Amino acid sequence: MRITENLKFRMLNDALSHAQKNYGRLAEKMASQKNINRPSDDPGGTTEVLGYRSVRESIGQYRRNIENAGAWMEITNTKLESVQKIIAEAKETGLNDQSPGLRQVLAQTVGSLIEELLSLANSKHGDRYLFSGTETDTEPFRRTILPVAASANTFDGSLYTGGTYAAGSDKTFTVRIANGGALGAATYQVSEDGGTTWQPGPAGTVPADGTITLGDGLTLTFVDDGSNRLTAGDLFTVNAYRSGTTTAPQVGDPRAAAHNTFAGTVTLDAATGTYAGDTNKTFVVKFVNGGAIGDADYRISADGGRTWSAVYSAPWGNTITVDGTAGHEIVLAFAGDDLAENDLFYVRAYTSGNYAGNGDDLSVRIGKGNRATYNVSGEEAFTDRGRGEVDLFAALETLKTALENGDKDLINRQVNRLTAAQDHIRQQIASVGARMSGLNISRENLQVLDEKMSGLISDREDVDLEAIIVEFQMRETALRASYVMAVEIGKKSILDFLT
Amino acid sequence: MGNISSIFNIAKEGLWVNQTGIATVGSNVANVNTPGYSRQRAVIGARSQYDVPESMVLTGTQVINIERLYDKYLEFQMVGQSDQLGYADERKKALDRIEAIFNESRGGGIHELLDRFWKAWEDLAANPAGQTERTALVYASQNLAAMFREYSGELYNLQQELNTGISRTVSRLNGYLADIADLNYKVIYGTAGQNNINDILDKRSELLKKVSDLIDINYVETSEGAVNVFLSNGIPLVEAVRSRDLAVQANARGVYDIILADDPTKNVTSAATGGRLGGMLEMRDHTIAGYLANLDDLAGNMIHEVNALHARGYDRYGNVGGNFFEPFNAIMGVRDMRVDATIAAEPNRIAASSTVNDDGENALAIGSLKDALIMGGTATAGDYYAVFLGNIGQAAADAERSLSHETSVMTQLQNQHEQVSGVSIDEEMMNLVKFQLGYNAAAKMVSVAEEMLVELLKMVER
Repeated sequence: MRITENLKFRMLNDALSHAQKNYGRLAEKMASQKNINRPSDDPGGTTEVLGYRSVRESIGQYRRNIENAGAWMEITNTKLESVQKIIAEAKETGLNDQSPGLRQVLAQTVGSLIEELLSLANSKHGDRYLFSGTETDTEPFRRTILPVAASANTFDGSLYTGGTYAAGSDKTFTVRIANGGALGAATYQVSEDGGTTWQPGPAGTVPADGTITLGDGLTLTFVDDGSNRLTAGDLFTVNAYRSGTTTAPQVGDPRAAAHNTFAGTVTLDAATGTYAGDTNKTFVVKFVNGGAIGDADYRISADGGRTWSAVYSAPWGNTITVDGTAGHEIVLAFAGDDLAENDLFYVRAYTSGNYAGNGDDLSVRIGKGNRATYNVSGEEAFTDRGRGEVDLFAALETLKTALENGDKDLINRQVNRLTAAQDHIRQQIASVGARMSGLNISRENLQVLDEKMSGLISDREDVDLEAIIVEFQMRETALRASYVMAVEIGKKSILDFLT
Repeated sequence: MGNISSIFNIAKEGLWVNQTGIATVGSNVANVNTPGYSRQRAVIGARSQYDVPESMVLTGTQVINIERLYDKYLEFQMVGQSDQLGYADERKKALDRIEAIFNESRGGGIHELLDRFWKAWEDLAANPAGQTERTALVYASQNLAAMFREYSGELYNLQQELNTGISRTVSRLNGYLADIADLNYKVIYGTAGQNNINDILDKRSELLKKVSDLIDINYVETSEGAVNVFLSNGIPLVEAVRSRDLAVQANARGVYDIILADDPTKNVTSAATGGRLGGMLEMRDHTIAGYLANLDDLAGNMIHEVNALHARGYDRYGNVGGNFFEPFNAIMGVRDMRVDATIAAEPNRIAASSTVNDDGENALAIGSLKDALIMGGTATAGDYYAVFLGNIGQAAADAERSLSHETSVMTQLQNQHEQVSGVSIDEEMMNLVKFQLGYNAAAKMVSVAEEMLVELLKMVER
């Protein structure tokens, strides 16, 4: 085999560049402390490590969610425990010995307890209301202007106050039935000083729709849905509070979503009746194609837009019925130009009582496909609708009125109601506590998982520093040897020996 | 005097032959570092004396020819290996660039931004009325879209660069082909005229390797000594003294096809299966196009799913959600991925709620898309991208291995070539000594013959 100069030098070059390349790669690993500095260093590892990192991100998110949900739930329970104390104190007033003078003081105590409860029920966490369900920027409760029937009454139908109380201070209205009878026949009188003086003139007749005017914008409605009609001698007390809310079911003003194309107006049609549902609902109309009023097709939702009815394509004049309950329809009237696809209109319907939020759950993800509900809605905790048990505000207002009027039977009934409320709140606290324990377990599991992922990433990605340093020194020696050899071999040739 | 003049003649031939030998050594030594130089050897033979019956005793000498030492088969192998090497080198260069574009080992790539995108939705779900969360979501979305645009834009630029490179390479190729034709001319007429064409043959051999580095070829040596060069599909590029140019022409996809300059209807792109042109074409039209398609798929599916869920939700004004991302433009695709302008201008129009009451359910649903199998029903977005990156890594690793292998085969061949055709200084120095000795001896002969002549003349002189 012939060896030429070029052959020798080429071989030396190859050896040198080979040594340099390995040396360079090692130096890179040492500088970055990672085995994987580009996808081609370890393609399988690249894919895996990305996957692990993603899981760790998710874990981080779940842990954050758990912290936030946990904080919310803790505050909820603290508030609920304060509510328990209020209920206990209220019960005390009801069980105490009740001489007339003491009764007024007790009634005032109950009044301040109600204010405290109101403040608790309207608590916020950050800038979200705790007890409003998902409508976290709506204040859930206001002071109730409650109509209270005396325990001695014969009439056992429903009562509502309505209208808006416009006077500047609190007042008590008393209504007594002069002549009994059906709605449209019975007569009544109103007093504004607790029964001492009655409105001058003869007794008025209760209109057929059952609504009588008390004064200052306030009305009282009787509904003949019990077994007995209004009977002479029936007494009703209404404590009217400044900026309180009446208890009649209400239908709010219809609203258009801000970015609708429709430029006309939408109002409640006169055909709208009293809302008959027993929880607060948001009704929505969505147009599925454009067209003139009466032409455009639409869908209706009764749950705020979560689920929709089938498409209505028949011509509809200028009104749409969003709640078709017979006798209690809610009808919207449209006026103006054409409607466009996805134009949206909604109207809130409130059931009787003083709750303005809804009963929906707030939840967060705490695992893949794993959700935690972290709120207790005001509906569930403080009303008797949806998942709730006792109308706590009504019980307390009735207790106050009963104490003012010395109505012993009524007082006892409220004390029973308050006991039931206590049980219910206790259950809520326990349920929240159980959920919090569940969260703690999840939190610990996530911690373990996170550490494991971190370990897996490190195994694949991080260099074993000691091994690398040893190898680096070996390569460095090899490189140095290559250099020395190259110079030595390059120097010798026959020319040194030719004279 | 017949014999003495023969002695002079023979000595003269001896001088001349050894001189030629030394000159040949000189050529070799001068060209020891010339790339592609094949060492030459003076072929010395005895001069046959058949036609001079008196001089049956004497045998002269002559240089029959200057032989070029090379192995034709080795040359053939090297030309073939050249195109493999060129192909592998182009692939590795392009894949190195691609790998650098997508390198996420230090973080900040699409995978991380995807995770941040899903996280922003989850944060919004926990606080749907929060302005900070809404703005953060818009930023995260815009960053994600920008990264998709950047990566796909760089891939597209790489394609364009390869395209320009193809055009430039074709020009170079044409230059080499013309040179080969020119050298063919010199060989044919040089051989006919008995000139030394060894260096021309060397140059032509080098040119063949250069051409094959650029595109895979077949070649044949004709009886006249010319080399005819053909494309892999048989179309001739060089025929004796004529060469044919190739040219580039933009096709319907906006990139270059390779055509014959004198017959633009003949598309020969498919004949470029090896060499740098082959490598560049493969990267441009298959590999990079494939990666762009992957990014298109990923972004497209994601946009489709996010927009679909977004349209089922409601924003803070109670309006139905519109597009969250702008739908794809048919031409630009992922290269123009953008967050919808309405959303970017007004974060309150993000449809985070599943009802008109501003809950965070829809944001939660969209955030859950992180774990949904949106890619063909078998992979999540993150998994798909991680596998995509792994594939790029695998392709780059394979290209490196391939280049390494081809280089080492080529090195082997070059070493063998060196053994046959390379100049060994040791050997040449020995030859120098040998010829110098021969020259001295022949000179001595001349001097002895001259003395003999003088003696002879002295005899006659009186």
